[in-house]
Parts: sequence; C-alpha cells; structure tokens
Amino acid sequence: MPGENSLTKEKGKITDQPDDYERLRSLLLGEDYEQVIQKRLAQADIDRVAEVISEAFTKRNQQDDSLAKEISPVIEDSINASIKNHPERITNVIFPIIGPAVRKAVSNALSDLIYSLNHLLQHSLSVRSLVWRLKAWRLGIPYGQYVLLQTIQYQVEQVFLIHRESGLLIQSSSTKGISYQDPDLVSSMMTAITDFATDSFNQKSDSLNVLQFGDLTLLIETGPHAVLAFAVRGVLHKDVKQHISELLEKIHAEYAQELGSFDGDTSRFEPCSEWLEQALLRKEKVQEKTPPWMAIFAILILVSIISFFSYRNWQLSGLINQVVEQVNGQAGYQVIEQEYKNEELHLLVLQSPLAVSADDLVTSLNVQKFEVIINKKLAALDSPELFTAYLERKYGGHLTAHRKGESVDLLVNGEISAENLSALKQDALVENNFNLVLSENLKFTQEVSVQEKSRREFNALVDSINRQFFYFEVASTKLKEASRGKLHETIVQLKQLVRMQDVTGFTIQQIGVSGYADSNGGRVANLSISSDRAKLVKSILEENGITEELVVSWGYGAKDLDSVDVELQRRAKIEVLYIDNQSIIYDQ
Amino acid sequence: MINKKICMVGAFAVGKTSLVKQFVDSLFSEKYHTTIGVKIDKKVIKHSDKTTQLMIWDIEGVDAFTNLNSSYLRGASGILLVLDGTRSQSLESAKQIKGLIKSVLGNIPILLIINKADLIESWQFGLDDAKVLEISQDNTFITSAKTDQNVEQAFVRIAELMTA
Repeated sequence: MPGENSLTKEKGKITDQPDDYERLRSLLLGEDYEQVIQKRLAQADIDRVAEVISEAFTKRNQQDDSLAKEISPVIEDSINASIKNHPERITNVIFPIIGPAVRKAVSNALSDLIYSLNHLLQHSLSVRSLVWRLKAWRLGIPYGQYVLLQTIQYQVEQVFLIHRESGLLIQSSSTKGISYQDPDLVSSMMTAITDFATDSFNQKSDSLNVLQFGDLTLLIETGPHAVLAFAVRGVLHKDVKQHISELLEKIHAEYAQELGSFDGDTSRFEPCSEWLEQALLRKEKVQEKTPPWMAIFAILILVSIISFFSYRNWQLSGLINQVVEQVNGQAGYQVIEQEYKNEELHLLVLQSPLAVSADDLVTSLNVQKFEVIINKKLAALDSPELFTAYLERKYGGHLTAHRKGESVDLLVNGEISAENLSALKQDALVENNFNLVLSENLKFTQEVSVQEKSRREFNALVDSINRQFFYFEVASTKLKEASRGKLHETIVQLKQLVRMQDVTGFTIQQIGVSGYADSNGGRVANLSISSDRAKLVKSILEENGITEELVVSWGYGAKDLDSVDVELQRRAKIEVLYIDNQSIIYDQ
Repeated sequence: MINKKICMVGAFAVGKTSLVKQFVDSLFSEKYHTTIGVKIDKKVIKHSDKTTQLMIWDIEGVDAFTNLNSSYLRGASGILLVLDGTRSQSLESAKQIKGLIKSVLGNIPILLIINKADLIESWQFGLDDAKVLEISQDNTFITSAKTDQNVEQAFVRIAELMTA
C-alpha cells in the first residue's frame, strides 16, 4: 500500500517531531488504528454524556432558561411531525380530555348566559332599577355611577397629601373613571376651610377631622408637616380611618427632611404616589346571592307558552284524525286528501252516488272547533280499479287490480321503497277495497342503501356478541363482576338484533349459550357445572326479555387445553345463528 | 415644576378678584362681587427658564368691619398688596396690612399693585404717596384689570422674586 505509506509520511511531516514509536505504530497499523481510536473515543463520549445528561439539564435549567428556548423549536417540530404522521395517536391521547373540557365550557357558558340574562332583566326591568334611573337622572349623574354608589360599602375616591403650612398639594391620587375637581384647588380650598373653621371657632387643636357632603366624606388627618385627606364615598369604615393614620405616619417617617424644608418642589415626593394609590381602598356591599329568579321566570313563561301551543296543536291533530276516521267510517266515503288551514279542514273525498249527502255528513260530525269542508269526487266505490292511479301517485310503483270473483287483489310491481310498500298495505283505501296486496318483480329504491347499512350493523353486532366471553368464580355459577356488566351490554345488543330483523331481512333462528368448566374436578361434576353456567346465562337472557323459544343452552364440561389459564376456562359464551331470508320474501 | 402660594391682599373693592380673573381667565366684568373668605385659583407661568405653578389665594378685602384673617397668609411665598388709585383709603388699609404681613410671614417678597389705571384721571394719590409703604419701584406696578395693563407682568415678577 504505497499510497497509504506516503500519506502517513505526509502526516509525519506535519507534526513537529514524530517519535519513532508513533511512526512504527502508524506503519504497522495504519488508518485502521486511527479509526478504531476515533470510534472508541466517540463511544466513550456517548457513554459519558449519557451518564450526566439529565443532571446537566437540571443544572442548566437552574441557571437560566436558555435550554427551554433551545429545545422548544425541536419539540414543536416533533409534535408537528407526530401529528402529521400519526394523527390517530394524538386523537387517542386528547380524546379523554376533550369531552370533559367541552362539557365544562358549555355548562359554564350556559350558566354565564343565564346569569347575564338575569342581570340584564334585573337591571333593566326591575322596579329598583327604574327608581335608580330616576334618581340618577334627578341627581344629574350617569346611571352607572349611581349604581356604583348603591353597591359599594365605601370607596376612597381621592387621596391628597398636602403641605400643612401652605396648603400646597404635594401628591394626589384618584380612582379612575370618575371625574373630579382639580386636586390642587381642592387641597388649597380644603386648607382654607380648615383654617377658617379653626379661627372662627377658636379651636386650638387645629384638627378638622371630617367634612361631609351628602354621601361623600372628607377624612382629614393632620401631621406636623403634612395633611393627608381621603375623599370617601359611602360609609366611613374603621379600616379607612386606621389606614389614613398609618399612612401619614409612614410618610412623615420616610420624608421628614423633605417635608421640613418644603419649598414647593413636589418632585421629591413622587415615590410616595404609589402609597397613595394603594390607599384607594374599596369595599363592596355584600349582596345576597339569590337564585336567578328573573331568568327562571322568563324561561318558565317561555316553556309554558310553547307547551300551551304544542298541546293545542296536539289536541287539534287528534280531532282532525278523529274526523277523518269518522268520514272514512261512513259508508260510501273515502278520504283521499286532507288539509287544515285557517280553522278549516278541507277533505277531498271519493263519494259513492248512493251515500248520504256531504252536508248531512258534516252536520252529523258536529265539529265545533273548526269548519269541515268536503270536496267530493263521485266514484263507484265498488270499482277499486279506479283507485290505482291515485295510489300510484301517492306511493309510487306500478299498481294493478286483479279481480278474482268477488274479491279484488292489488298487484304491486315496478319501483317502490320498502317504507312506501308497508304504508300502502296499511292505507285505509287499500284495506277497505282490496282483498290482498301482492308484489311481483319489485325493485326497491333509495332504502336499499339504508337496509344495507342496517344489515352491516346487524353483522357487526353478531360478531361482537359471538366474540364475548363471560367468566365465572371458582367452582360456582356466580358470574364475575366485570362479566356481569358485559352480559348486560350483550343483552342490549341482542334486543337490538331482534328489533332489526324486519329492517335487515335477517331472521334470528337461535341464540345458543354454551358453558365450560375448568379442568379441576371430575368429568361428571364439570359437565354439570358447565351446564348450570349456560343455564344461568340463558335464564338471565330470558328474564331480560329475550324470547324464550330462541335461547338454548349446553354444558360442555372441561374442553380446553391445559395451557389455557384456568380463569379463562370457567366461562360461557353466546352464539347467534341467523338466516338471510330476504330472497324468500321478495323474490317469490 | 415648583408650586408657590401667593396671596392677594388689600382694601375692599380695589380689584383683587378682577386682577386674578384677568390673569387666569383673561376676562373682565364691570359687576362688583364681594369676596367672602377666600377664593383660590391657579395658573402655571413660564418665566426666564423656570416653570412655576401659582396657587393664588384671593383673600376678602379689608374694611371697617373685616380684618385680614392672618391664617390665610400662612405658608405664602409672596404677596400682592393691591391698592385702588381712586381711593386714598386703600393706601391707609395697605399700611396696616403690610405691618400684619411682616409680623406673620417675616421678610417675603411683596409687590405693590396700584390698580384701576384706566381711571387714572380720577386718582387721589400717586406713586410718590405710595412710598410710605417702603416697597421699591421695581416691585411696584400700575395695573388695570379692565385693560389688562401690566397684569401678567406683575404676576411674572412675583414668580421671579419667589424662585430667585
């Protein structure tokens, strides 16, 4: 390998003084050795990093949040990729969370809606709110402000820190959203009033503590250098009094020097404006939480109106049906169309020439709630052939009447839906005038897919039932708790199958219940217990309304291999046997 | 910004309130309203390189029945002593008031304002007579609240004196 040797020589040149040992090693072992060394080193690196990686994460996290910043794009990408590649996995993970979250959100939204509806009704319709509106209008203040006055116990609206000597405002703070006089003027005027009162009444103590205007109280606390005043709306609470004293002491302690040498420069007191903001105390009146009566009342009224109208509707349709039945019951009359509008019931009837007159019939009906108007078409009702055209229009298909001596059969062929076919068979016109309804070469429209759907559903249910096992306690016919629940689910499915027979064209021929025992115990005993287990399941099915004639039970004893878990050996299972009888009925 | 309290003092009906009204709102009315107690206004003025907010205490005028309530003067940094040139009585009152100011506030800037310059033909005393008050010419202003003569200048002057 001359090339390689020259390469190592090249390398040798690059390093300053390659010692002989190293040259010998590279001559002997060449590049392979280097690669092995590199691999070993890389492997060692991996091991070393693997050992400390989580501790390193912890330590770095404590230092700063750079790790989270670095990792978050990686995590975002991997979540994106995961959602893209396996959406069903994410769906499975979030599925249990989404249901409760949606339910909670919906119920919250509903209760919010009810409360806001109630609030709206209470505040716009109640007598109290009307009185409040009137009072607010008389006082010339916005309704919102008046409501605030009525609902708060107290609120410190403005706070003034005033230089005692000059009456100059040092700092002030006020609640947002309420309009005030210029605080500079207010504080000067307040000082003037205090001075005036002090002089006029010769009060040495120079402390006018409280000024009251309507429901606004001006609470004044005087210190050696500064005066603190709170404009309080509502009740003068002891908390406010305590706060004003404490705050004034705090300000004097912190700003003693600045206050002593105050020359009108307020900038030095700016830091204390935060304290003044905090002094804007507010306490709301405790309002009893009453149920949302107004909303409940409104909903009740709505419900009763709806139920009143639906009751009337129900009553009316009952009466209409009664009238139609009465007319149909009258010899020589056949109702073919009915329409109710504007308190008039219009009936289109086929009338035999020999029947009583329509006027007499209406009189005999004696209906008071609405007027019955009979539009008649004369027809010989002993010729049922005349009805086929009308019935075709109504139900579809191709209909012909077949006369066999006295009786007439109705022959149905062409395209008709299964639903219309059964409706046709039950039509009063058909029942009264035709002996039999026969079908021939029928094609079913639309409903085919619906039927196919229910057939698939039926098959799926049968599969699910046939796959189910019910396990028993040791040496007993007692079902295990979990299996009892499963059995009840299965009963629901069985009932559904029974109901679906008509739609699907399947007929359940047998529901077989087989019982098994575990391999412990004698053959006879096992046969007996397995048979008892099957019988137990059979009896539960029958108790729950599965037709007795369908259900059979057998006990097989112990049949399983020894390798099967004994817990699984003590079991029963249900098998549904059914036939597809569609062709038998329709392809006759 | 520096806040300063100044007081308008003088005999009744010399035009203290009118001067303040003219200075703050640039308005003048011939109607006379007597001030009871004190009326307070404010105005921010800029003079040389400073900004000062003046809290102007317009104190009720002094007459035979009303003395100056000294508690209104407390904490004032400057005084505008207002005279009515058409009434020599206002000069007499001013002498008393100045004495009171001296005793209550000590040496603080006092400006002498001789008002009603628009009626100068019916003045009963002049600048020379006002020298008894011992206020320098620099701090004496002849003003008219009606024509706005010298009003702004007087207030700027007191602001300068207070913040010097």
